[in-house]
Amino acid sequence: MKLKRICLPLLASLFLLHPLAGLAADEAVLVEVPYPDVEELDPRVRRIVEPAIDYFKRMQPVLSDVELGRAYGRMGLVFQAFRMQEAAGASHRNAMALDPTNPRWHYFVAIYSEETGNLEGALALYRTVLAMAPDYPNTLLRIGRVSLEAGKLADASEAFEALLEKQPDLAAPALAGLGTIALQEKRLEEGVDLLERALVLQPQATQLHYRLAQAYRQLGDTDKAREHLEKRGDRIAWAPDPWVEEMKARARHPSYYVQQGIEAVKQGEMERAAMHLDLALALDPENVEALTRMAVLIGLNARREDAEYLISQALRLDPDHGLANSLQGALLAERRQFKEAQAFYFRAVNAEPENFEFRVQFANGLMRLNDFEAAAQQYAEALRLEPENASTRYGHAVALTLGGNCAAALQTIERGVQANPRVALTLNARARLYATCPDANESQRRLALEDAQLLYDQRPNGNHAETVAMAMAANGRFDEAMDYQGQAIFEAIKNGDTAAQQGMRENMQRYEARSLASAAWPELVSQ
Amino acid sequence: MVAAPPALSTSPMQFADVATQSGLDFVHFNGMSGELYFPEMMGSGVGLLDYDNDGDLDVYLVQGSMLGMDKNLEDATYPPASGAPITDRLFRNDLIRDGEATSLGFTDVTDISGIRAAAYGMGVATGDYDNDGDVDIYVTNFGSNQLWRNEGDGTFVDVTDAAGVDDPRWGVSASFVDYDRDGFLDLYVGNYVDFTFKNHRTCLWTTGAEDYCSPSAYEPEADSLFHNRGDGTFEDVSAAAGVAARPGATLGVIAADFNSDGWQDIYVANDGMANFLLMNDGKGGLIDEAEIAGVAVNMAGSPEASMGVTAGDFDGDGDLDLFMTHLKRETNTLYVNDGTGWFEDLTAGSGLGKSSFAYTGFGTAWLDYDQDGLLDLFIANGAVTHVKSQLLAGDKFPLRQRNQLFRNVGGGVLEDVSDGAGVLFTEEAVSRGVATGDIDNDGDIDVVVSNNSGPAQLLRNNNDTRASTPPTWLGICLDSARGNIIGAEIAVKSDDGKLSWQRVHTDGSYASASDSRVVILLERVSSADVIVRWPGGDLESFLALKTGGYHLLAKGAGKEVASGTAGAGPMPD
Repeated sequence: MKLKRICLPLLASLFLLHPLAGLAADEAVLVEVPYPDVEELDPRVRRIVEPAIDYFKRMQPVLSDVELGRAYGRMGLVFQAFRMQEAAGASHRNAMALDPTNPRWHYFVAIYSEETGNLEGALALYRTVLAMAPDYPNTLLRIGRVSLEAGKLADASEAFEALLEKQPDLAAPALAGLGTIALQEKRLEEGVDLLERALVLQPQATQLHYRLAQAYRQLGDTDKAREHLEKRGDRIAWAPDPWVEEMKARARHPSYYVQQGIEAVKQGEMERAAMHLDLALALDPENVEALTRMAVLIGLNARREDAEYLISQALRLDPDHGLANSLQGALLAERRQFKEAQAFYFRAVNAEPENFEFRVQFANGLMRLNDFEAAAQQYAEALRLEPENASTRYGHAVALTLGGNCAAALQTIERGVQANPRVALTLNARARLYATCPDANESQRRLALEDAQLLYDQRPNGNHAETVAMAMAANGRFDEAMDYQGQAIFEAIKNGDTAAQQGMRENMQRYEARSLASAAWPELVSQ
Repeated sequence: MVAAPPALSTSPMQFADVATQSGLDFVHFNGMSGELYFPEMMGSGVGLLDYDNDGDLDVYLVQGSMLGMDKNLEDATYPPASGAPITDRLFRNDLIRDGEATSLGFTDVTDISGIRAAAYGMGVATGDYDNDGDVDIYVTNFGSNQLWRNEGDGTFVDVTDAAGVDDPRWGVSASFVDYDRDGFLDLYVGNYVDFTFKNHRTCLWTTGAEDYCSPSAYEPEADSLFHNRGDGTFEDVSAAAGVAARPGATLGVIAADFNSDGWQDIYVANDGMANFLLMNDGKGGLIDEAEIAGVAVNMAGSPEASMGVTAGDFDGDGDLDLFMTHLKRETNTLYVNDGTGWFEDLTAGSGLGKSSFAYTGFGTAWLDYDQDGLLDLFIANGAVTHVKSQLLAGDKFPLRQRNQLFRNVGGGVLEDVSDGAGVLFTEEAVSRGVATGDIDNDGDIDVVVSNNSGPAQLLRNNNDTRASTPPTWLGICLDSARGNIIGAEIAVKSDDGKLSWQRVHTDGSYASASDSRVVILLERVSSADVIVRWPGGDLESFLALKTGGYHLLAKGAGKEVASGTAGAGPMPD
C-alpha cells in the first residue's frame, strides 16, 4: 500500500475520524503525535513510556506500513494506559490508518472519540469494530451505552437486545441497559423488572439500586425507593473488556506482574501466578525475571521441555541472571551432569551473593563433587544469611566432618541445637558427632545416647536406629549397638537404599569387633 | 399577550466582548507561583447590581491575591496586570441611552466606594439585607468573608463583625434568601474544603506529573446559615437548621421554592459529593431531600463534581428545573422538576450531555438570549487539571477551554450554538464566574464572565442586530425599601389566561450574583398589566405599564388582588 504520510494536528484530524471511507484505499493520512515530555514524567512512568517512544522512533524508518501501524498502536496503548489522551488518540488514529484490518485500533480510536465527546464518531467506529470482530464481547455493550448517552434510545435498545441474544453471559449489563431505556421511556414496571433481573445476576452492581429507587419513586412507592437508595453504590453492571484490560496493564511495569506472580506462588495460587507471569511476558517477552519465574511454574507442572526453553531464552538474554543459572544448574544436576551444573550454580551465586538458596544449592553441588572444604565454606556463607536454618546447619556439619574437621563440625552443630533445641535433624547430627568424633568427651557420648534414644522413641526409623547404634557403641554397649544396627540395615533393605547398606554393614562389623563407628555418615564416606 | 417565539434568525455575532471599550478594565490575579495551591485554580465570581440606584447595572469583580505564607508579588507566575491595588473592584455603569443609541461606559469607583476587599476573593452575593432600598454586598473569600453595607450615597461600610456574618473558612458561593419569611434576607454561605497552606498537597497525574488536586484531597466543609434578626445583625443558625452537620465541598448555591409550597428551599451543588436539596420545613429546618428528589447524584447514581448551578423553567411547565455544570467526562446535568420538587435527570435527551463531555463547566445561567420565550443556557468552562497539549506548549496555566451557548429549541432539547455566537465562544480561557443581566437596558440579556488569570469579559447581546423584529419587552425592578424582594415572582397574563411567573433572584451560577430585575417578553403592545407575588404570598397588580423600559415597583403602590396566597397556580380574575 502506497502511503501518503501527512502530519496534521490532532484536532484537525478529528474531522476525518470517521467514516474510514473518507480515506482513499491507497493512502493514509497520518497525524502528528504530541509526544509527552519524558523529562517531566515521574521516573516510574518514564521507565515505561520512554522506551516505548524510543523503540517506536527507532523502528519507524524501517517498518513497513502495517507493521508501522502496529507500532503506532502499541505505543498508543502505553499512552492510553497513562491517560495521555491526546498522544494516545493520535497514535491509534495512525495505527487505524496504517493497519486498517485490525479492529483493536478502531476500538481505541472509538474510545478516544467517546471520551472527548464525539459520540457520533465513537458509535460509527464501534459499529466498524462490530463488523470486523463480531465476537468481541464489549462492542455491543459500548454501542448501547454510548447510544444511550447520545439520547438514541432505539439504537441503544437494539444493541442491548443483540448483546442479550449473542452473549448470554453478559446479560447483566444488557438488562441494565434495557432497564434504563425502559425507565427513560416511562415503561416503569418493565424497567423495574429488567433492572431487578440484572441485579440478581450481578448483585455487586450496586449502582442499579439508584435507578430502581428512581423508578419506584415514580411509581409512587417511596418506601421501596428509599430502601433502594440505602443500598445504592457505585459499582456498575460489569462486563469484561480484554483489550482495555490489556491496555491498562501497560500502565504497570512487567515487574509488577512478576511480583504478583511470585506472591501468588507463595500463596499456592498457581493459576493466578501463571496469569500474572503470562501478562508480564505479554508486556515484555524478553523479561528475564518473568521467563525464569514462569519456567519454575511450568516446571512444577512437569512441562520440562517448555521450562528448559524458557530458561535457555533467559540465559540468552542475560547470561548472568541468578535464577536462570540456578535453574539451568538444577536441570543439569537432574541429568547427573554435576560438574557442568556446578558452573551455573557458581554464576548464580556470583550474580546474587546474598541469595541464600543459591548458596545452599552451590554448596550441595560441591558436596556431590566431594569438595567438602569448599562446600563447608558455602554452607557457612549460607548460615550467615540464615543462621537458624536447620538443614543448612546440618549440611555444614556434614561437610566439616567429611572434610576431616570434626571439632568444627561439633561447634556448628552445637549452635544449631541451641538455636533449635527440638529439631530432630540437628539433634540427630549432634548425637552422631558426639558418638564418632575423637574429640568428644564421656558426658557428650552419654548425651549422644540420651538424644539418640529419645529420637528413636519418638520416630523409630532406620536413620534413628543407626544413630542409637553409634551412640551405644560409643558408650561401650556393643551388643545393643548391633541390635539397633541390624534394625537399621533391615530398614535400608526394605527401602531399597543400597548405597547406605554398605557403610552400615561395615559399622556392624566394627561393632562386632567392639569398635566405634567409622564415621558419623558412613554412606557419604563410602561414596 | 406574552410573546410567542418569533421567527428567529440568529446572528452569527450574537455576543461581542465590549469590556475594554466600555472601560471594564479588570484582569484577575490568581496569585500562583508554581506551588499548585488549590485556590489559585478555582477562580472567582462577578456581581451585577445597581449599587447607586441609577437604573443601570454596575459590576463587582472579585479579585485574588498572592497565595502562600512566604510569598510576595515578585514570586507570582503572572504578575498583576495593572498598578491598581489587588482588591475586588467596583465599576459604575455610566450608561447613556439616547433614543436607539446606547453608550456603555464603566468607571472604577472602588476607592470612592470605600470597599476594601483585599483578601483572596472567591464569590459575591447581593441583596438588600437591611431593607433600606439599596443593595448590599457579601463577599466570600478564601478566609474571612465580608459584608459591605450600602450607605445609599455611593459608599459602603464593612459591617461584617457588627452583623455577625463572618465565616473564616473557604467560602465560594452564597445566597441571600428569606428562608423564614420574616421579610428580611437571611444568608446561606457555601463553604468548600479545609485547604490551608500547611496541609497543601501536590497531586500527581497518572504520568506522575504534578497537577492540581481534586477536592477529595481535603476535608469538605459544612456551610453556614445566618438568620437576619431584622436589626442589622445576624444569628448563626447553622446547627439549628441542620446545616452545620452536613459537610459538602460546596461550590454552587441557589435558593428557590422548588416544591411550590411558598417556602424558599436551597439547592447546594457539591464538588465530588452528593448534592443537597435542603427543603424548607417552614419551621426553621432545612431537610436534605436530594436523594429521594433525584438531584443528589447523576442518573447512574454517582456523585459528580458539581460546580455551578442555575434554576429556571426551561420547559415552560411552571416549575423550576435545575442545571449544573460538572467535570470533563462527567457531562453536565439537567434535572427536570415534576412540579412537586422531585426531579428527573433528563440530560441524555436534552443535548446537554454529550456536548459537555470535553469541558469542565463552572458558571452557568439560564437566559433567553434570543428572546424567543424559551430559556437558553450559557456555560463558562475551564479545566481544573492541566490540559496536556497546553502544558506541552509551554502554558503555565494550562486550563483553558471554550465557553458554550445553548439555544432552547423546545421539546426539552437545547442545541449547541457556540460556533455561531461569536469568537468569544471559540477562544479559550479559564472561565469561572458568570453573571447575567441587561447591562445596556435594551431588554436583552448580557453576560459578564470572570476569567481566572485573565481579563473579565462583558458579552453584550447584539440581539437588536438580527434580521427579525425583536419582541416588545417590559422590565421590572422591585423596590426593596418596603421589604425583601428576593423570591418574589412576576407575571403578565397571557391571552389564554396563563401566568408565566418569573422569579426575582440574584444567586446561582458559580460564586456570582446576577441582575435582580426581570424582563418579560410580550407581543407587540404598548403597555401591559403586571402581577407581582411578593415574598410571603401577597399578590398585587400594576396596571398599564409602558413597554420598552424598566419600571420600579414598590409593594403597596399597585392594586392588591389577593392576600396570603402562597401557592403557585393561576391567578384569580
